[in-house]
Amino acid sequence: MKKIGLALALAGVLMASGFNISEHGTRATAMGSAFVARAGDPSAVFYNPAGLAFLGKTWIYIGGTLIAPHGDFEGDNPFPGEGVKESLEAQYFPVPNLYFVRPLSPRLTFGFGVYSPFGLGTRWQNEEKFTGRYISTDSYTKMITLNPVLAYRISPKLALAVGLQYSFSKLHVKRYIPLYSPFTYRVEDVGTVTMDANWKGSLSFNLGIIFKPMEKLSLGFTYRNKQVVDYTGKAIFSQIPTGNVIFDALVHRALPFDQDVDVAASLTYPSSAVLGIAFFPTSRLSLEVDLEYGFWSQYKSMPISFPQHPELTPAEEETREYFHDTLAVRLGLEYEMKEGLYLRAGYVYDGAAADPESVTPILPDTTRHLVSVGLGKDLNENLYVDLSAMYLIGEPRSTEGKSKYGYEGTYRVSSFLFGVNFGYKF
Amino acid sequence: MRRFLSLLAILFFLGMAFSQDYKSYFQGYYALGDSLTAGYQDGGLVDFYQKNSIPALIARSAGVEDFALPLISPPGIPPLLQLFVSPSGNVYVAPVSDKYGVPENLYYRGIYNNLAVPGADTNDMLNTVSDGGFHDIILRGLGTQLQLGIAAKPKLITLWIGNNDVLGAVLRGRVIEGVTITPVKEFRANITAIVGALRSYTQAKIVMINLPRADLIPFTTYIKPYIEVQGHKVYLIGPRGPLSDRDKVLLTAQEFLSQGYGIPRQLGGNGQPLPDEVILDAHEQAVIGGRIAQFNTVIAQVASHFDIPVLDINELMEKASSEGIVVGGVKLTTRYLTGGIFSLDGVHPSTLGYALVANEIIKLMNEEFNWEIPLIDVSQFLWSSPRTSSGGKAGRFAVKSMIRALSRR
Repeated sequence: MKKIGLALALAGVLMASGFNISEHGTRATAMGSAFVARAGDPSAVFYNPAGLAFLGKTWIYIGGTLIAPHGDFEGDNPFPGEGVKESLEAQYFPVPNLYFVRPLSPRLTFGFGVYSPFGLGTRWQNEEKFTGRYISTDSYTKMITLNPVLAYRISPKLALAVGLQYSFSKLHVKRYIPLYSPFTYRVEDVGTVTMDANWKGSLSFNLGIIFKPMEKLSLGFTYRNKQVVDYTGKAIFSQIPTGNVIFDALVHRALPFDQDVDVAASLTYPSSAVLGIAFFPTSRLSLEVDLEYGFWSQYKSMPISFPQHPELTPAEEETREYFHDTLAVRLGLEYEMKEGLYLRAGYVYDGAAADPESVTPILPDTTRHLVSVGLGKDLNENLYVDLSAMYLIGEPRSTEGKSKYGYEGTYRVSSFLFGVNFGYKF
Repeated sequence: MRRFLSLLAILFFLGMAFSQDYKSYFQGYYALGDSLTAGYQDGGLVDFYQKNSIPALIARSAGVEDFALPLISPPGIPPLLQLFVSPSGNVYVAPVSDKYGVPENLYYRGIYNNLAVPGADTNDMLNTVSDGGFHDIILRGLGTQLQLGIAAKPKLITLWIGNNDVLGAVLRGRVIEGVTITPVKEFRANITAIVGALRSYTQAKIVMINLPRADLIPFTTYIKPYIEVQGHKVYLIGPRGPLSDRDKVLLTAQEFLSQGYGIPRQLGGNGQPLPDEVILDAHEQAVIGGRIAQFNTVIAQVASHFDIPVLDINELMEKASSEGIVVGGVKLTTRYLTGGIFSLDGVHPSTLGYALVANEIIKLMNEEFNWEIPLIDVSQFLWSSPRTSSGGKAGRFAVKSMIRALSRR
């Protein structure tokens, strides 16, 4: 027993890219985020920057979305077993947004946005008893994007735009460390490891086109490029005494407890492309259908390493992730009930990106259906407010006995999203 | 519409009937084999491990409540091994007691469902009724393992035999043709006779399991042929001089190493060589590895001839050995003591390891026979152990001299 192999399955610990958020403006959110072909407010910086070219005025739009996810898990054999029930702790994620638009010339418009395309997390109840605690008890990612754009109106029918996305992101994960004890003939919890990646900047770009072939029709396309972020950070290992002095001493020797351990990780945030078509049957009504293609197959693995402790670095195959490209369909409508009062509604079908192998307590990815409603009201000549409420229901998602962590069962997720934004037109 | 609905109902119940079909087969489930099927673990056979032997686990998952086992009381036969800590802080493995357990179910009227006899090889299965050891406890003089397996009128049989046709060479560190290792010709004849008899004299569905690679068990991998001193290797001393990376030092070398054998004088040893029986040299390894591969070919051929599905245990074994088996984020490996898959004897799996194998057998049965036997919940063995307290009451039934623990010869 000179040597003790701490089989730390640290692979994939920082996997977080599925925590993406599409709700970056309350008006758009109320319409299922089907906004690419209309892009008729400053949140176009995110949804389709070409839309800015048609706004024609200096405009501020500020607000946020409060996201309240709910999630349950029901276990299957062989692990953690039938009858096991787990729940996510209730958390509220505020997702702020801020946009500013200013025409520079009759044709050229500048826009600037700050929003948070990633910012969710999963924290499981009763972490010390949570049956998935060796995978993750608490993880989150945060990303804040600064997005200056330039939109150019080529003709009254056509506009193009390009933007720079400068993002800061960070990651966090906590998990328990298991080790089989030959003294008790079972797996003991010998410690916890908490890993925090430092805020890290990354650069990307977005593009947009809007084409209005006729008065009652608008076509839009936008593309957001992937980001590959190389993080560095710290891992902190804390020992949990098992009561066996010898075993605890061996564990203590095997892991770098109670010190900052360098950790490096690389994560790919995939590209996406959205194509939208909007109709304006009357002057009071608009309808839009968007198709969003997510290039999730770009996310193949999540390499992670401990430069000072190569023995803790997981093997390449352990960091493999199983994702495929996705299609989302977004439907939205807006109706002007009377002067200055808008009613909005939307529906979204959002296909799952993860294969059963990668459906985990870190990210219980599933196909989601979202319904949304909202109101817009002018408060005075310059100021208006948008409100939205959205309900997300995920299809029950089974790991089908294929979980890469050997953690089998069915996840059920749902979420409430409330949005409010204020707009001010100069 | 109504007709359609009734058709649907019929289909539904038919579906139910098919998926539940296994229950009738499990009313006559008998397991034939050796120590791996018997539930031998931590160097002994004992009731709390027997109740979680592979056949018992599968039967429990299939809803069988009266699976008869040749139970042996704690501390087991032989008494189980346990980790001890010496006053100087060294950790060592030793029997928990010098007393032996006793058979608890010797007067069971009927044939045990788990007929597996630790130490049995293919020849024993065909020919041995009594050997003054495990055969007597499990077969009770009523016949050979094969005869009892047929007499039981089985509806389902699992057959995992042949490990001891090669394991003797591994455990004893010596390849002696016909003594520690069975010639291929004899093995083929034995397996053909066993499977042929089961096919001829029973109507049972049969599942076979082939032989795991011996070079991956902790018994052969735990002790390295060298000691690392300030980053470079100092090789242990074998009967023919210093060992090399190609030699395997067996777990049984530990008691010699602890007395200084095999360790050069300048490193505090006595400079005397380790005995040959605790070392497998490259030639011995090649013979053993080749023989296991040949035996597995024989098993595949015979099984295919009789249309019997075979679980390739080496898929699991090689995965466990190379990348590990991940259960709930816990990486279980073949590492000795802390890997989780093998027990303290370094040869036999732990209950966790047995449960992993049992689930593979269930998957194979479900696939081959269109059954829906639930998989075993392994969390019960991850976070707790059937072995609650060490020892237990020792019996009077001293059979120490009769039983040879790991190999019969």
